[in-house]
Amino acid sequence: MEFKDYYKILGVQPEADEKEIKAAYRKLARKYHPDVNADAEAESKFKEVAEAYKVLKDAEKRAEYDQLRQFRDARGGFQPPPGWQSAGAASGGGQEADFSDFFESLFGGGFSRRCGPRPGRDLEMELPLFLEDTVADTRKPISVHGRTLNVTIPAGTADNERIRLKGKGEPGAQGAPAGDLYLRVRLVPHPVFDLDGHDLLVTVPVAPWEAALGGKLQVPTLTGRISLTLPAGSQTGRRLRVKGKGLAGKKTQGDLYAIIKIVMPDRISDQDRELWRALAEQSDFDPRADWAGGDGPRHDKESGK
Amino acid sequence: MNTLTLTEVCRRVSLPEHAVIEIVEVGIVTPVAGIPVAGSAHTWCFDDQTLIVLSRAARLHEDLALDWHGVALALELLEEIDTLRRENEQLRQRLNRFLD
Repeated sequence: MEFKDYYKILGVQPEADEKEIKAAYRKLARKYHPDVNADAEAESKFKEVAEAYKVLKDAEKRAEYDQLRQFRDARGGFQPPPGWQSAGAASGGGQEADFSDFFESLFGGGFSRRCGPRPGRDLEMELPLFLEDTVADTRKPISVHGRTLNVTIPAGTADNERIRLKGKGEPGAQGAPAGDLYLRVRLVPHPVFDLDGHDLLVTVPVAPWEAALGGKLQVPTLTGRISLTLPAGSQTGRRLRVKGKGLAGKKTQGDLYAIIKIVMPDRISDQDRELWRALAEQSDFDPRADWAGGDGPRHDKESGK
Repeated sequence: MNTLTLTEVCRRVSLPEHAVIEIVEVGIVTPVAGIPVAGSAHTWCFDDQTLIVLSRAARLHEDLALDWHGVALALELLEEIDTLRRENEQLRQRLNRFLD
């Protein structure tokens, strides 16, 4: 069995007093508490820290632990001495699932005495969903503690929403009712669409001449392509609204916004270059006219010609 | 939507009544029915989604030794961080579509 160095886990010296131990625990707990830190490793780190504090804050347990530290072997392994029995441990108690085997072998049962059946805890987990999954009622298999549940995701489920599955949380002990499972919906980033509340945004690349002359655009939606009219003289960033093609909400239906992005061709042929040059010579458009009062850009333009 | 009485809520989250009353008083959760004034706690009804917030509040109170006002502040700030983080991700993604 691996020896747990509780002092090292809390980052304190074996001589540390109660106050130091408490301060070290509080600091680590704030950092790794699973309700504060969503990182996958944070929870196991917090359990380790909580276990260390549970032993070291209690003078009696700490004295026992200090005595047992002598039985560590050089490779970090450990066997409790024959006949070891913690003064604080009660016989016949159940195991506390959150503590390590090391802890259980030393103090097992002492902390887990409870009266009567204990209901299971409520669990919360994140449920990543594709935008496409929210268009209609969707069934999704979800794996919870080795079980697979088929969950119906109602149409219009929104980001951050919680779905409650009654009795699907932690099982209760000795026939007590199970806890509930709460799924917190996380809409995953989409390769094409962005989200703004219930509105969907799609960035539509257009050629400069399309932006200048206008025309018809084929634009993707979550349920297929639609045709849009691009008005002549459209700027980058122009938003074309398609009513009701956003995400479904419980009360309202979002809209789809096609956002225009003018893009240049990767390559320009000699012929194209001549056409651009002809346009440059003919046009009196100055995109930096607003800067005319300042000396920087105006100066650049003059000296550049 | 299921609703729960104060007694049911206390049993489900293993908190004493006075703690749940205090949690309501600092505004961490709000009963969906029954006016939250002093002495009226037994007419309160809670939305079942409240349970997950109460359990979270209880863990922070216990594990980080925060009083209920501290828990309320921590929960508000955590929620705000989460919202801002997600908003930031979404805006970054939108920005990248123009920079690519």
